[in-house]
Amino acid sequence: MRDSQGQFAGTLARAWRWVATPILVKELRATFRGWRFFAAHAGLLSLFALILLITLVVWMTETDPNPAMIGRVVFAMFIVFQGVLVALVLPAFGCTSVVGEKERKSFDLLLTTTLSPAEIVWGKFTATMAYSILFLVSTLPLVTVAFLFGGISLFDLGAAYLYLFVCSVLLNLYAVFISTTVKTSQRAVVACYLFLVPLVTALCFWAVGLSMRYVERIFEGRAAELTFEFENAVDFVLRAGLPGFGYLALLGFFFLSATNRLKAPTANHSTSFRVYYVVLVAGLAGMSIWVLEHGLREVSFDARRTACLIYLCVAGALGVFSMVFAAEDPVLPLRLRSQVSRMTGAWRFLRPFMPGSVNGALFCVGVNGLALAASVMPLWRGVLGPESFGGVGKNFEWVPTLASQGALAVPFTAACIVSFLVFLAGAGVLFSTVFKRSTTAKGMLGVLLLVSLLVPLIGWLVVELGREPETSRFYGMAILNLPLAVTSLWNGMGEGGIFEWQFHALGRDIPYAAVFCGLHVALGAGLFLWGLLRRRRLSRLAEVGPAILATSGVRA
Amino acid sequence: MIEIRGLSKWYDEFLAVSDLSFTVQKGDIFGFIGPNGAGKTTTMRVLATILEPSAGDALVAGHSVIDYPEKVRRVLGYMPDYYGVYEGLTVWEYLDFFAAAYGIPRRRRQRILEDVMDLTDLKGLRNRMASDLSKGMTQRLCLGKTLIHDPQVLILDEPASGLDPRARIELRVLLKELRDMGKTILISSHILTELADMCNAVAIIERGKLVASGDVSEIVRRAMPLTTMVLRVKAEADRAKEVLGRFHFVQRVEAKDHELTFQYQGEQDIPAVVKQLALADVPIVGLEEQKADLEDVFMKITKGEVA
Repeated sequence: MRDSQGQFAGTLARAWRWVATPILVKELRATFRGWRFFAAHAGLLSLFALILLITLVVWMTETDPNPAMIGRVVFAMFIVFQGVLVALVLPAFGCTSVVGEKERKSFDLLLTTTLSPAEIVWGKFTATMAYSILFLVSTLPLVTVAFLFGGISLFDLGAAYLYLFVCSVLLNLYAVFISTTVKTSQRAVVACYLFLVPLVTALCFWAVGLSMRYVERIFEGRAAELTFEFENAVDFVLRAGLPGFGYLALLGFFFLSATNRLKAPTANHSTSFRVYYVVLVAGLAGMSIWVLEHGLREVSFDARRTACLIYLCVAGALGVFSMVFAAEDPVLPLRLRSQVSRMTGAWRFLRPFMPGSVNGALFCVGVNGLALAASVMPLWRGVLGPESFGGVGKNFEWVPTLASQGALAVPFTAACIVSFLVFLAGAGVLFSTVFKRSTTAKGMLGVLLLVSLLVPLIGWLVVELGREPETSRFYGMAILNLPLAVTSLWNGMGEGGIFEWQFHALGRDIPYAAVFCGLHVALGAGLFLWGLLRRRRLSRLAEVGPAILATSGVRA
Repeated sequence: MIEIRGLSKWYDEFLAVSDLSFTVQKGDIFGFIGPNGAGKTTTMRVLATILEPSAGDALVAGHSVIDYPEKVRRVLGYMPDYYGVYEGLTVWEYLDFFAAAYGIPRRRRQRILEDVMDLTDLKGLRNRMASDLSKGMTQRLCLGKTLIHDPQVLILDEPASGLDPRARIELRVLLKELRDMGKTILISSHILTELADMCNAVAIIERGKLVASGDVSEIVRRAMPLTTMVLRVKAEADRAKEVLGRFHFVQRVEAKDHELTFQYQGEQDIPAVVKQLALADVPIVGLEEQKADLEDVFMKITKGEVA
């Protein structure tokens, strides 16, 4: 019993360490003692009070002042200025948080403690959030002046502050992330605000829409009518699901990136991002399948088709993006090599989550395969006919059936996916052994991806835009494969599906697409094998020593 | 307690440390010597788990810095050559922060901080701002931070740099006290006379490579095999030089005014030399051995080159 109590106390103590982090306590002690924070705080509060005063004077001198209207205007003004504060002033604290430690030469002291990089980032983030919360809460007495005039409910206040808090979390984490990427405070401030403006703008595309409707209803005195009801599943996904998911995805990206920046150069930077991508892809796939199966019954044909194709592009691009993991350092750092070698038995299945070019290629093929399988699953239900899967297929009547695509549709679609994955994985493995830095290898792979994706995508769009939806064929798959896109483009001008452009040889009709697809697979497999051979040679060099590696032009 | 095995560190094309190997025994105060840019700080940063080696490994208290950096951090205290203190924190709060960062529970922190401040003589400065301390006091504060989690191994990079003579002597006394407490200390310094006084073993590196390592007296003996004697005479220096030349084991006799220096190797019959000088009516004022120290060794075996 005592042991279990002790364990519970230990767990509580560890959990508490993530709440009251040593860095948070230290930052609060140091900051609140200084005069600068007090001066900035007092200055901002004075500014807010001045804005309040001016607003009141302007509106109360109206010929027929409406108290409720004045209350709503005061409130709206406050929220706008709070938004400016959250978006453009408070991130300044975060963007110098980690880089300040480096400039102060206290960063090494911090790294040699038992705090992990994640705890350091979390500590800096919570400290920055503490300032933000303090600023927001301290303006609360001024905001409540609006209540004297009426027209505002507690719900309005809570919703506005919740929105500001949610924005503040993202922007502060972004600022801390920037702080880990640069070497001086000046650069941190410049970089932070350089990207902050477009980030805030992008965030506001969604937020402003809601806010305007929200503010509009407040001004009309109908705040109580504000509800979060959605017209249908598409409406929910577009207005809440995707923005919410995107918000969480950005938070995850900033946190993992910031943590990675604080890790030792040769530490494992990949596994956390691999898990992140899998979660991201799974989330998108889940959301898309849910919408396709349950939310599109009442929506028009075009909306269904568009949603499906958008998802195909998003999931494909996201999965393809993870292909950069194939272009990692060819020779694993010593620590990671020993970790991988320990992964035997059932743990072997986790190897794709570890860095290294072959593991990276396996991971990419796996993630892409899952993403694409998830994306085409509902489509195939349509392909198999309206009665397939207990009638679910009737939701996808717009998808051409197998009969309309010809007998080769299934193998060609599979070949298309496989050839694309093999080609990019092969290129990734080869690039990882050719270029000296992994960043160069990833950059080159990115260029290849652009060529592989954009050219066919443009071709596909050219075909699709000039076509009636009813006569649409399964051209979506063409975006995955340049040769298929070419055949699609060529054949799309005439009648029939993309697999019907054939030539006669060896006594039978052979589609050009099959030849191109085969060449694509062969090229990818060749690159893969070439990369593996180079990798084996480099691994042997790594055993001999860094001096030989240096002469071979590859970093140990 | 510290074992470095074939350690190499590359910064892109730049080789900072090359195939370095040496061992520090438990309870040693081990001096780490080398010219600027020799690779001392890089090696120490690898040991402190701030950098990972490009090749080789290092064990601290049996834990590999590559495989188990978290375990190494628990048993190791690191004091860098340059560091800053946080503005707005008192001495107590500064130490309390690092105690918390090392995961020391709050209920134990009070006593540990008292002990550390007692040891580093910071008790009177408990409520002083850390950023207002003098250089010597700041060094003590950083050393206190280094000791806060009671590490078995201390890595001190130039801890005496910039200190006045009194502060240096106090630091030396403190380090000896820590050695008596059973700590193993790896220390780098440019003040070689001080290192010789407190270290029982040293390693000398140049251009990232180990030049010599081991017991101080052994290194001195190996590096300076000849014993140098200084003979002072009241007059007749030329005659003294002629007498010294008669002995086959005497090498490199040099005379300057009334002082002659000569060298010999191994155990030789020096009383016989004195007797011959006396018989030749050389008025001897004194004869003494000129002790070779770490500075002499350092100057002899290093070329003053940086990597």
